[in-house]
Amino acid sequence: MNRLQRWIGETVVTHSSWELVLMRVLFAWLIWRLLPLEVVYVAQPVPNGLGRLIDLTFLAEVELWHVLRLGAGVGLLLYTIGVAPVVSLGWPTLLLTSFGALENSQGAIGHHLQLTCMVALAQWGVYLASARQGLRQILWPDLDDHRLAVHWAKIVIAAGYVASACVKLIASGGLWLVQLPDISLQLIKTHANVYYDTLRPTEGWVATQLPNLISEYPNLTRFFFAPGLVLELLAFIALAGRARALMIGGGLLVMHWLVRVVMNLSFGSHEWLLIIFLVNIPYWMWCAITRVRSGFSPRKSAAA
Amino acid sequence: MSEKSLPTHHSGAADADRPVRRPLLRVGILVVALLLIGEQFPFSYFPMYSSFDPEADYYYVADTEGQPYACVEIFGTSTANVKKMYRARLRELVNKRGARESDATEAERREVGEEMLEYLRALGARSGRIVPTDAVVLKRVLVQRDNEGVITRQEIYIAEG
Repeated sequence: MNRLQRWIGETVVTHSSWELVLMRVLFAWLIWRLLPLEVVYVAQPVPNGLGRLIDLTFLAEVELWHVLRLGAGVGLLLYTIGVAPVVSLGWPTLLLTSFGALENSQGAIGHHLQLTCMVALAQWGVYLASARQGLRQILWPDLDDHRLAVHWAKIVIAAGYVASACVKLIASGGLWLVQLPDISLQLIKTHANVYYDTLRPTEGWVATQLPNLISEYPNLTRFFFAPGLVLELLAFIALAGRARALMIGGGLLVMHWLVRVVMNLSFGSHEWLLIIFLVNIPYWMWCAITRVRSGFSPRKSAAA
Repeated sequence: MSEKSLPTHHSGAADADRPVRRPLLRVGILVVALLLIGEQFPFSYFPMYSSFDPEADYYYVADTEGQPYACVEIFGTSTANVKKMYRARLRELVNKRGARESDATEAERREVGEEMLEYLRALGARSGRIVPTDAVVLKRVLVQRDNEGVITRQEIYIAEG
């Protein structure tokens, strides 16, 4: 394997069973958190995606939604322990996707649900494909299926970021970095949006002085924002093993943190997906603890 | 989905990662698919801030005296959503006569603005909020940046309802 292949060669990471359980627990929690207590949309004024195929306004019926959501909760509990994910993950995935389609059929496309739904759909697809092997696989998929499901989650996350970078280059005619100083107006806009959402004054230099600084120092702006675009373009490197996933996932988290500080915009579910599937903190903590322990324990002699 | 991994050089090690056949093919296909499908939920190519213009705008709701309302707290949705929903409805209206959003007349903007204010009241009421019963106003603020980097703002009245 040459050096380039080692860097970008896609591998299915052989996560331990405890890592996979933790990933499922966190992902189930993320899906549950995204399912609202009630649905307030009683119409689909501008149907989008799934909403163009099905009238999803039935979800706004309070009692029905409570039952459907409760079913999703039970499903997610079963999914965390790895039981029948075709159904236990499939049901919450269908419900979240339906709710997201209804929400996006109000005429305002938001972007906080799509990546989670796509990750859930990809994982569900893996379990569905493995179901061909028989009832035992449907009820209790083996470790390799769970690993493949996690690998597909990473593929979807990486593809989402690469697509986002491609759109930046396509929509701007390759001039994204040239146009970047005009982001100062977007800063003013997002801070104004936050103010008119809550009427809490947006204070601090980020809201009051940064837009003018960006406008006055365009090259400095490009210097700070360009790495984000490069990271998004190279997000596929995260598929080349744990260390690359940590590097790309960590970098994208820093990018989101900067966007949150500068633009007052948060992509919470994207950040959680990066933490769960790419950064994988529990594994690295386990590595660190193991290393520290082995450093303190007496060496075994070769003869022993 | 059921692709098989290549055997690894470390096949003896139970926990060795397994290289896949045709690396990056799946992610490549998915990127192309997302770009082609576009904004059709649950799919998206995440076009947020994909290009920048030397002008931007935001919307807000106020009373007739010009005092703004906290949009999320009063109506249950954000001003960013108000803008998107208003523009989507405006596009739909002007498309019927084969025109573009930028060619919308003042009357068309007012018509869609009034429709939006009605929608917002109903949305707020449905989510258990106390919505204003008096007339409210939808306003647009245009922010522009000139060649010298100077930033200016202009407030535009859209509709009352």
